[in-house]
Amino acid sequence: MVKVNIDRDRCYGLGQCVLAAPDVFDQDDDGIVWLLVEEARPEQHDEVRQAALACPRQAIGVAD
Amino acid sequence: MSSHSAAAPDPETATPLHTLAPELAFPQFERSAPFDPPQAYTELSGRCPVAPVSMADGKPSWLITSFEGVRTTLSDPHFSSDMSHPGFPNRTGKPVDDLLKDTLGAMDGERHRYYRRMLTGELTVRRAKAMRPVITQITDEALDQLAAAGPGADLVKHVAFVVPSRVACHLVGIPLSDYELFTGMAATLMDSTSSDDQFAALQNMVSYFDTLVTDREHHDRDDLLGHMVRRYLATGELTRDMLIRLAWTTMAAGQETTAHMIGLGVAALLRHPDQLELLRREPHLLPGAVDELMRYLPLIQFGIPRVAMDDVEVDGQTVTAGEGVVALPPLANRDPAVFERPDELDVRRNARQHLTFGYGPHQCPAHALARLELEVVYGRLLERFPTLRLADSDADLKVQDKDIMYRVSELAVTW
Ligand code: SF4
Repeated sequence: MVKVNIDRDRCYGLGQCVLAAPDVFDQDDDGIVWLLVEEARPEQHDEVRQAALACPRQAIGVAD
Repeated sequence: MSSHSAAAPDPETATPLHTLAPELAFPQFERSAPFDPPQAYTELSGRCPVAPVSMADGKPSWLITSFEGVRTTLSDPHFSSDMSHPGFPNRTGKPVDDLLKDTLGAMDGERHRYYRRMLTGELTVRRAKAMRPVITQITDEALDQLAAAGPGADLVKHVAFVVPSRVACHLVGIPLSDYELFTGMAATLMDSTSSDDQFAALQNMVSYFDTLVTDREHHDRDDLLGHMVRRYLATGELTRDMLIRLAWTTMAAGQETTAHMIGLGVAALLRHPDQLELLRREPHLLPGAVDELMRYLPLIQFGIPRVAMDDVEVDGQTVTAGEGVVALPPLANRDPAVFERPDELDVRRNARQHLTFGYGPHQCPAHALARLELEVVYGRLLERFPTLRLADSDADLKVQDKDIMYRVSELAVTW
């Protein structure tokens, strides 16, 4: 399991995270990221790391 | 990440830009192959990924061609999008068009963030996905027109130009009955060579949107304009002027780019039959193919300009405060440090991180919608016309290669 953190203040609503890991991230009505789950299942780890890399605002943290 | 850092100059001893001889005049157009960026850039990019160039107004700027350099330029807050700044790169040598001042693309920082959030809520990945049935219907109607026109028909005219503008009309809330009126105004606004015509077209556009906004003030409508009127105009967060400006610039930004990606993308697939065949056999590759085509095709001709508000290091080169830079995504998308065999079209590749949508705060807010549109159009086209090919496979592609977007101007197909 890895823990996922988001920093909604940094988020610019670009949705890269949602494209990379649609079962982990979503966006609210302002487009700002929110988490669907707080801990990613093993099969989601790759996607979550991709999402953290893809976010241009470094708004996503991943901790093992 | 960059393979160029070994050759990078020491920032401490960096030479100021104005004392360097420019490597090139910007822009360059000469290409050796229809799907490759201009040769002069490709040659320069391997040798000097952050290079001094001279702009049309005679002022020097830096041309940024590495992946890492383009990402820094587009995401470092020390670079500004303010076109009225004297150091801002000026491609045409003419004063900045008033039409473009104070639009989202020219704003910085908190002000940009304030207005931008009002659009991102309308363009989330979820909203885009919810539009799949509408996009499919619009696409199928366009493909009916193509079929009706018979073999030899122009895909650009019947499909590429139709689908994105009809999708944008649906999203924003322009009634189907006004479609032709609207696209006529938009075309004059974009293409006109006379600034008088352009000004008149803008006036028409503004008063047309004003009528739509008034309608939303009296009726609840489930479209972008309706939502923005209720959420931001009614609460005073947005003035009527700014609402109208956000709405028409969104429409304008979304249509042409997607249209050109349809035309150029289909042309590239038809010229790479092995890749086309692969997509036909394995349609699950489509979403990835969309990103790969966006990476591979050099759509953006004039790059993305910025001006440095402070000294910033870009891929090993110091850009001094006040200097202009032009980031070139098509070259960054071919950076061998990031993409293996970058000059090959390979629909199996993971090309998600391409920079054709830009990067950072100004990255295209509608990227999810654009990706979905392309996926539906390419997908339905291959399904519906399993023998699709170029009407004349030996002829040169008809391209428009001096405009803001590189594109095919006509694509005659047969089946
Ligand atoms: S990619 Fe980053 S900026 Fe974009 S929505 Fe996700 S967290 Fe926000």
